[in-house]
Amino acid sequence: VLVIDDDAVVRAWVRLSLEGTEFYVAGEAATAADARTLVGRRRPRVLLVDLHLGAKGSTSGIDLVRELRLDGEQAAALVMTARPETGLNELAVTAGAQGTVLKRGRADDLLEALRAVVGGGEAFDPEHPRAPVESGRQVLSKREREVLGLVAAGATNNEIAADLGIGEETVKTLLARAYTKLGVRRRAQAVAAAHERGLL
Amino acid sequence: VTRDDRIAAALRPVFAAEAAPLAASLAEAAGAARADEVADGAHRLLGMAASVHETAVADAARALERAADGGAPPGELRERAAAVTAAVAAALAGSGS
Repeated sequence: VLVIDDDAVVRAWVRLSLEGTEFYVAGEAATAADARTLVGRRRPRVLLVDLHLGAKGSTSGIDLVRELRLDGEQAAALVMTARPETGLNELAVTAGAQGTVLKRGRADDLLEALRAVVGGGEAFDPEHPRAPVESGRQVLSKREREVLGLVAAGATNNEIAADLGIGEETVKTLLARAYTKLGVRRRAQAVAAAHERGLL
Repeated sequence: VTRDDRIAAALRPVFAAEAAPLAASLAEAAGAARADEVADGAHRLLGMAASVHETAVADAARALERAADGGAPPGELRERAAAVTAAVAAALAGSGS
């Protein structure tokens, strides 16, 4: 297993979780660049990739999996994250991953997912809420564009909720979906990405 | 004691070394209203805390990340960052680190 996570505690947790099992850590990478190098050298059977690799603007785990697939990498891929993310399972599928794992500190969850993907199966954590897929292509809905437009204008979630007559939780859900579809993590990134793609 | 508990215990020294400076940097970023930096750091702390079963730290970090992502005002960010700092201090004191 190649562990790709920018956090030393999480990498150590994976290492300890695999001790005494049929799996071993073939390498550890804290950045996407290191991961690309190690994939070629260590030939892992599974890539265990953090969704949020490093600070804003850095390559996401999803982007890394997608790039490696385009390069012809065949190892199974599992995307890890610390919290449920709307649409992550669907996004992981489109990137070429075989599963998602939530960081709950439960070794059995990780092992179960690893066994599934090594056996040719899939292991998508059901705690990630589903996101709609339109015509096979991830695009922003009208409501998501409205919310992002107000974010671009500097509005807080509370202000957006009041402006659109919806709940603040709905605003958060719409933003989370937009982030996932745009492959970004933060408000400013989402606005920039939406502008770049002519979605705002 | 489960296997997960043993793993969490083994990771406490690493957590102790990483969490306190990260909490301090979060407080500094929150004080300067650098929301993206706060959100990134809080997310990192969340993953770290979940790995060692520090639920209070994870909850405080999750709340801070949500506040930063939600465009919360600077005062709220500072308050939530202070809560993170307190949770980390309590966790480290509780583990004897």
